[in-house]
Amino acid sequence: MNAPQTRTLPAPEVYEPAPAARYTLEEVVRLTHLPRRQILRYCQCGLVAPVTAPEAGGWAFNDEGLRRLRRLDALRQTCGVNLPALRLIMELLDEVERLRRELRFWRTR
Amino acid sequence: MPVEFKDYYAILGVPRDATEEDIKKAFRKLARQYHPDVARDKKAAEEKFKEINEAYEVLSDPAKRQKYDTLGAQWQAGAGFEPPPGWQSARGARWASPDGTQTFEFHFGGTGFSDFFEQFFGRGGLEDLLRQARAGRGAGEDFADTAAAGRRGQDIEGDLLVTLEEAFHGAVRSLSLQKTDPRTGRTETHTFKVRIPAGVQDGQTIRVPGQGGAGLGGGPPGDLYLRVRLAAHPWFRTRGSDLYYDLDLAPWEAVLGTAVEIPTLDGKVTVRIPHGTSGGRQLRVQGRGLPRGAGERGDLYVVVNIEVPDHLSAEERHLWEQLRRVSRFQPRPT
Repeated sequence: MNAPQTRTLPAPEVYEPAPAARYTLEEVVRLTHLPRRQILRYCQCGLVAPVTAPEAGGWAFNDEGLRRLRRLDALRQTCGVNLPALRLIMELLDEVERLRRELRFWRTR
Repeated sequence: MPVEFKDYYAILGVPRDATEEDIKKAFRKLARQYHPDVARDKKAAEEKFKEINEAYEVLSDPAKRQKYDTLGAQWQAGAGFEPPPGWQSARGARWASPDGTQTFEFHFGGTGFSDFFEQFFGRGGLEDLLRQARAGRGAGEDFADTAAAGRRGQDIEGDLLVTLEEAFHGAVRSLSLQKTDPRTGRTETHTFKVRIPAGVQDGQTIRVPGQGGAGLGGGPPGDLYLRVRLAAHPWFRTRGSDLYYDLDLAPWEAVLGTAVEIPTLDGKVTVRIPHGTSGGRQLRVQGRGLPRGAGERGDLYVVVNIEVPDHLSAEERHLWEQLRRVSRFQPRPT
């Protein structure tokens, strides 16, 4: 077996998260590689919500919306589940996360 | 990947049969001593503070502590550590794409957690659940279409330990992500910096674009999602952007009222305790919590806890007995 090659990529960059960043539907399609139709379907089912309503000047998503869309896609691909099951899994994950935070808060008292 | 075993009991200086209360006390004492704000050697103190936090994170949680005790039963001080057979890592040293065509091993640096913690006590987020789901079936058997050309790389999630002071002021952290492709043995280390925005909350994720898995067939790389874990603090607990400070009072302070100076993240404040304050009462100090955007801040809640003396002098006992005789106070419904 050949000796492993190690390559270090130079130029450390500073990523500046922009909590106020907003993405249009077209940008979300490009960033998630999800079909537009599917994103709209997830929105209709309440699995992800745009930060501005379509009637108030077009769709706009934030980073959290982007993350949810990617999680939905990963779940769908790995577990092959339908929309009601996706909704159930996402609700349970959110609830577990919330309860873990609450438990941590009380345990450290 | 062998990792160095962490002796969390030794780090907190408590015996293996320590009670939850002993562990909490040991943590608070050490956390005060090594708090980066008070220590002289800030860099060394910060490392120690993170180590103490990690030990506390595991030992203060009964389920994690039990897992740790089982894991550590075979371990001898000074010896290398190989996890017992059949132990599933909580956090991935190895990652495989859903279609099984893409695998690599990865390793984070600079997150504030040790490799040992990341392997066995990572939070069990969605990524871990998905990996377990994938392990339960043959790779690629029912998603052959996902290998289509131009497919985007997988997202990676990782935990990032953030101190309350970093969350308060904001900070820049240097991170490294080492990825090894097991087919070629080639290792790539990406070094980058991430700004932690002021007011970041526990559980919030920071997206680092393009630092996830490589894309397939010319597709773009995935993103790295860093999940913020706020470090336990010797004085404050957090809930959203509010802070909670547990204040111990003597019974007479609670009954007669007093004024107490308490720490905040930006200087001390004096809190007036009104007379007749019962245990559990919360006193709000407006606007002294964490930033929450638009120049606003959360609140600081002082939670009253009444402590009683466990040793009494003859005179004190006499006075308490006298109080019992004359008082008409009735704490329970008759």
